[in-house]
Amino acid sequence: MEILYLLVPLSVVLVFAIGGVFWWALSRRQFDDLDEAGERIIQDTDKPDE
Amino acid sequence: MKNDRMQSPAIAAPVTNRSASMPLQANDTALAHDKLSIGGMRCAACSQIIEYRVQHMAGVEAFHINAASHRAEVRWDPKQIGLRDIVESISALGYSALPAGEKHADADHQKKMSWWRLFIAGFAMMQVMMYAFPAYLQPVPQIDGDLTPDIDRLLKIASMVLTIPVVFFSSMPFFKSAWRSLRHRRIGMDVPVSIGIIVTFVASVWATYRGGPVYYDSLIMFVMLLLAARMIEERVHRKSTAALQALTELVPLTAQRLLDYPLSRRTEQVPAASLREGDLLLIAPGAQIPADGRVLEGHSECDEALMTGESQPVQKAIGAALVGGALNLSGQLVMQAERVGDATQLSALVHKMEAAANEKPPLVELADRHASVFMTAILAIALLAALVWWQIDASRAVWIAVTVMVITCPCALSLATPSVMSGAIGQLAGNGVLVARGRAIETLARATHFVFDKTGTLTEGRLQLADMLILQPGLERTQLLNMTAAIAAASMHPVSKALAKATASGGGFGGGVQYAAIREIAGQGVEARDGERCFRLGNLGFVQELHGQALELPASFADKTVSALGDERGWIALFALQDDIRPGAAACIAFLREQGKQVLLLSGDKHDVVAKVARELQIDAAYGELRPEQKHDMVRTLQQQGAVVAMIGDGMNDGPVLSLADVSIAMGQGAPIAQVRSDLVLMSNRLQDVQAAVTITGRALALIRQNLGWALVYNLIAIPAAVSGILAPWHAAIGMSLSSLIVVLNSLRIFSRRAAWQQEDIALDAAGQLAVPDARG
Repeated sequence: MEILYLLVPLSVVLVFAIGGVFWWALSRRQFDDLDEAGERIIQDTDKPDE
Repeated sequence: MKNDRMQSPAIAAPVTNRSASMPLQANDTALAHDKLSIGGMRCAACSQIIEYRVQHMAGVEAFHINAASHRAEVRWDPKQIGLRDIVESISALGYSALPAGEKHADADHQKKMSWWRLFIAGFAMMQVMMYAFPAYLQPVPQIDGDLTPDIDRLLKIASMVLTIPVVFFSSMPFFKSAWRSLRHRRIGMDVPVSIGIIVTFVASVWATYRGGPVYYDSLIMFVMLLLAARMIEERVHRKSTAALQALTELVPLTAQRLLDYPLSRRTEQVPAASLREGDLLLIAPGAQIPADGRVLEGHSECDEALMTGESQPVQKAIGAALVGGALNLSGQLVMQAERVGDATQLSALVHKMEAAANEKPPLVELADRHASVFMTAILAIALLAALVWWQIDASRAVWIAVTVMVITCPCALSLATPSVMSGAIGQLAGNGVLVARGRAIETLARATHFVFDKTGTLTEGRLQLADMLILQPGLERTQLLNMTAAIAAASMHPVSKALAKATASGGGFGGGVQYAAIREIAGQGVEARDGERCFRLGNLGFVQELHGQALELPASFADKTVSALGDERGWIALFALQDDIRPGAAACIAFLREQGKQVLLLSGDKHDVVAKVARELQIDAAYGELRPEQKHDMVRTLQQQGAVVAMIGDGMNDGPVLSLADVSIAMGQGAPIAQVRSDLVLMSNRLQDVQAAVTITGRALALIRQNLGWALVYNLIAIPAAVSGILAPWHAAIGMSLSSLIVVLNSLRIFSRRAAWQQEDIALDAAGQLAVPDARG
């Protein structure tokens, strides 16, 4: 079961990494408005062709 | 509508030195960066419109509105554009933009941190539980593979590493609060929690290197449950204060102060914060009134919805009172400020609402006080047990102490009442009852006597003018209508409103009739002065005071509500008004009597009218022609006899008596002023909701008692068990979590069962009313 000596520390590192990624996503305000991305498609912001 | 917030000095001042500039890229010129609070957005499209407009302004680098919080972050180049221009363009679209207050930012930060703490605790908990799993399975011989000491230690170390952020970050609120209470020489709820966490952590670290069971998973779960419980509590609290924030933002930032009135109308613009009592102010049409005061000159209508919830504008003539924060509608007014800043009615309202929302119900205070004693006892017992066991078997001493502290989990006690209260408040809200003060829930459950007002409470409050009699010889009908309309328009009492409506439609308002001074005497009527003449419109007794003449009431006026108009010389006119009884009234009274409560009807209206209503609703104790002082005294007498009195009234007109009752319920339609003056507000003005309120609060009290009883029994069993050594710390962990879980689950019982009043609602619908049955919580 020596593989655990690799896997367990790796899992700890992964926990911190995932936490870090979540922090990054939060600081970029990606979770602020979950509906906005979907609504952007329906928005009428195209410039009319001259 | 011109928005004078645009000219606020706070915005006009150079902005770059208010906030840190954040350059986007290394070679960018320094950009200014600020936060705005956007008001007036009613839908998602609104934010898009604003964003689109502002983002396309030259010099604006970034502009983003958070749809949830209505706050926008803006970055711009000060050389090309100023914040003032951005705010102006938002105003031009019809929305308002204010610098986001510091308090907002702080609250946001707190919220963010709370979520982080919970997330870290939750995430770590899941991982550590997995690491702990092999050790749990170890004793079972059938499972293949031994857990060697090396691997065991590896898993323990991994658990420890993940527990460190939980102890040093997620648990900080408990440590801080425990430290704070210790500084005040009190053992608060968080002290044993903190001690438990620290001791468990240290003992587990010790066991990681010296062998023995570790308790990282129990520790983290404990922290997570407590954090989750606190977050829910905070959320409920924040919802009630959010409404308050909206109120405070209604007072304008600037005011127009008159320089040399009455010589000229020149004004200077000053910040509202610098206003002083006695200042003379000019209020333009469409402007908001910056302070409480009185009208000196001018004539207009004001929208006082923020205070009274009344969407109909109130006429303002010379001498009329003005409320800071209200909206001046049609005419220009000159006013004298009487109360400014923190002394305004609006500020007082907000403070009262804040205090009321923060008030702890008596049971919670009781629990807190006892908890203090209880906790000290626990710590003493734990210490004692450790010392005793040190003599018998030293290796177990520490673990026994930890077990004692962990198993007597304060969470059962600290969750017992708040969890029920939160549930009760939510359930009440779902039934249309707004809880303005926390202690109301407990008091209503204990109420023995229910006192009802008549007009506007048991009756609809929509009086119709049934008959009119002119007593002053030679008075023209139109003249009378004009006079009455002018006086009645100054009051919000149901009788005045009905008269204003009837007379205004009959002859038009105003017609040049203006009174120098108008004032309302609560519960009695309105008095208007015009030079030397004094007029009174209201109760018969009130008007009779002016001239002392007797009156013979015509037969047709006998069983109707009668209002009179008179001056010092005699009676001028009589008005007969009719009102309908609310549909839910009879059912509500019957329900209360079934529950064994005493029902009373106290009214200022005539005996005949009151008797008629009492007969229909089967109220035995009904008293009419009462002045407010008499109502006051009656309630006080009941209380002296030991009764717990609940009063149900109009919120706006019964102020003093409502505040005397032990618990007051107002039909205020949610008007802020009703919330301040009463403990519970019936949002939909339905008396069925009183039934709901009584049932829910009764259940809440029972549940709180059950919870506290359970906490007591649990501790009585657990402490001896822990001290005697038959329990291991992991038993303690389970016991602790289980006890809190039981308390929370029991509290959820407040949401159970569709009860009697709800079935009543359906019956009413089936009886022929085409109302759509609403979904109940």
